[in-house]
Amino acid sequence: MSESYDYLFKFLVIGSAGTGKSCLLHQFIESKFKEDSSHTIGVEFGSKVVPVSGKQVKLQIWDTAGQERFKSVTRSYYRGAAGALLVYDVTRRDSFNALANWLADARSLASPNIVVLLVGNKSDLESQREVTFLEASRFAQENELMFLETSAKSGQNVVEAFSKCAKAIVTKIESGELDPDRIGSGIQYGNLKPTRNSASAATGRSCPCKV
Amino acid sequence: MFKLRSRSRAKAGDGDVANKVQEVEPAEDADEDLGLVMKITINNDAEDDSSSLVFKKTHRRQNSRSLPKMDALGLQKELQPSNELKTTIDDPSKEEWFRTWPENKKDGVVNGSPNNRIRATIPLDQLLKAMPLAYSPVTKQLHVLPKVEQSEHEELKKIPKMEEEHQKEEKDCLLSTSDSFSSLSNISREITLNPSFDEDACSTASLRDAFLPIQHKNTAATNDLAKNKQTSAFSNLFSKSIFSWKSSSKESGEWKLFGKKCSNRVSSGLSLDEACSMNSMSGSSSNSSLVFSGREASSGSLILEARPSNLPAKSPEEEERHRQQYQQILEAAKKKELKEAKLKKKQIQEQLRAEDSVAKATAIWKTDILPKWESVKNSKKVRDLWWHGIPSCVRCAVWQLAVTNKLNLTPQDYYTYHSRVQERLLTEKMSSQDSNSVPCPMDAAIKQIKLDISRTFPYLSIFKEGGPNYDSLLNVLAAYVCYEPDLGYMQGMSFIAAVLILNLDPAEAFVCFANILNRPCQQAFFGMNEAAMKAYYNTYNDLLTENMPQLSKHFAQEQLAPDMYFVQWMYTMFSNALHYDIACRVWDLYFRDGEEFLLRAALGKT
Repeated sequence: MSESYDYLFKFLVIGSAGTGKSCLLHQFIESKFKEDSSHTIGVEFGSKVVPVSGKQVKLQIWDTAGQERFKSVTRSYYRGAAGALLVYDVTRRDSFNALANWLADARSLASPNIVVLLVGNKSDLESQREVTFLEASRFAQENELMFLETSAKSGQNVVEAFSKCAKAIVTKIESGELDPDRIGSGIQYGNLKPTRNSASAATGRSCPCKV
Repeated sequence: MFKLRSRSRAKAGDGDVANKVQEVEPAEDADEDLGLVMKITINNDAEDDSSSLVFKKTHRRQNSRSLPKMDALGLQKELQPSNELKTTIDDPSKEEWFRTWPENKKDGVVNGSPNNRIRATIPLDQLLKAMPLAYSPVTKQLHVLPKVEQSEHEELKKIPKMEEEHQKEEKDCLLSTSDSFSSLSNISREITLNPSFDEDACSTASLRDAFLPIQHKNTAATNDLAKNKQTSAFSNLFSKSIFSWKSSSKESGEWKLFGKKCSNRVSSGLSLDEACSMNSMSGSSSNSSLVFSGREASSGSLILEARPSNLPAKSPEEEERHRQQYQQILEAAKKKELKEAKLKKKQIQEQLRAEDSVAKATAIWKTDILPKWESVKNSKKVRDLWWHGIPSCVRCAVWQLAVTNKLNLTPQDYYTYHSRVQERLLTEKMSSQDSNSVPCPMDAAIKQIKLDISRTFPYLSIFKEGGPNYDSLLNVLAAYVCYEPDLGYMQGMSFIAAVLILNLDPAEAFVCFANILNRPCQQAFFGMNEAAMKAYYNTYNDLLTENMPQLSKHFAQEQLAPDMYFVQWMYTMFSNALHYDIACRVWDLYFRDGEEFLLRAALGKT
């Protein structure tokens, strides 16, 4: 992979089944809406380099299965995630109601410092809306989450959601709130910036197929 | 103008073969430009012996006039053009005149090597001096006279037997024209009186020498071919001198075009004449016929020529190159077509063979294996046949037999569970108005199933809502949830049920599905038995390390665990990861060999 970047962040996309997690990822990577998307079994991956605050950040995104019953399988994927997109479907209240559980899992399994952005997907289906923007933003405020409403179909706010989450992580690193060198931080240094931890960064880059 | 032209012709005939060539072609209908051009060329090329010109001219006029008198046959031919045409057709060498000039020239190129030798050995001016020519008042053309001298006769004797056979065919002609022959030889002797023809004997001999190999070579072919090749080869010799000469006397593009093609033609005509003389034909008769055909060909060639008349003529090298390029393109296209046809044929054959083998296998499965399944299912023959894939039309039966029915389910059970689901769905609809009702786990499962059905093999479009198989998949999965509420529905099941529905009817699919999910492997994964799952992961990892140590090491280094990719293969039994047809092949063997084969498939080991 010839691309170069400053940081690599491990990202999770979590949320109830059928909220459009895979479509969000596809829209983010390919800038296209995936009409014929099959449901995710286990986990699927995607990666993209995005410019964040003057830095190149590679997002390694883990798109997880949404079914509650899969949690014992997906639990192992949470480890070492730096950020997460917590997705619900604005047209389905049950997906909104499940958010608290998902958030608890993320904070307990990944890291208490994990940067989570709440995503209300399918904002294009305004007529079928069951969860209002106000309600969701109140939930975000209460749980110290960032919040955006997106549409994987139209592409609205999709890139912004990933970028905003990445930006928050970069800010936290720069403020010293997050220590990239801490094991399980979900952050790796890229090949652009020589750092005090260049050795570990080099090992992180040793694989050409690394996503 | 006519007088000038005829004079110039006589002159040209003495001086330059090229001029002679030019002259025959224009005939009576040529315009004034033609005469001018010829006059100029005479000035250029035929100045060497102006003093003898008049003499020769007069002599030739006499000779050609006397020709008809001396030869009754020749007279007849000259007076009756229709007869001449006949002779033209009879003579195989005349075929040349109906061909387009590039072909004509191509032949010359193909047989060009002897010509090259001629060019190299005989100086052109000597060669031209040696040409015995005469003017015929009837045709108003200059003709090559047959020269029968001692040396020539000797050379003729050397012509191989095949050539002699050829000559025999024309024996009648020879006999009838023997009179004219002697007279012609007289004429040529008269010509040799001219001091410029001192070296005639030797140069003519050498010329004949040069032609003989060509003739010899060509006699191997048919008469037609022999003459064609010979004449074209000869024309090649002339045409070259014409082109070099023409380059110095180019005046109008149109004439160049006309002259070029015609000269080419006529030169071959003349050389034909030469050939005829060598074969002891009557010179006058063949010449007169040539004039007719030459005229036709020259006008036809203008039409055949694609090059616009306002463009300058191509140089011979360019022409040659273009022709070669054209030939190359043609050959390449031909080759490509042949190759494609071959490939297509091969594909069709392969397809037929595949269909044939499938048909054979189907027959074996139906007649030999299925009726006595229990006794033969473990035989080597059956297992071998099984390895090569179960034909899709017997897959339904084989899968049911191979999966077995340890749960002793019947299609009737499916309908029972199905009706229960329907009832439940009805009550759910009624209770949905009552918001206080506690959601039942089965309702959640059905909700999840409905969500997943349209996302199962979405590219097939048959499981989408309103699609042909949407209801059957929903019913089978819902019936299973009803039958096994503890296991319920889990993502991944829909893929397995979908593959079964594509091969079996819903009731059969349900029985098969329940039995597959009762297998230890599926029980471990769908039952979320983490210890058992871990055992599968470890087994897979051990196999990976054993079979692909480098890949295993790399995966370990990258912290890529089996639960990130292997888990998906197990949950869907490869139906999501592989193309449907290939997934079915994997299933065939999974039902033959058990979960061992799932691990084999995961490693890509056959």
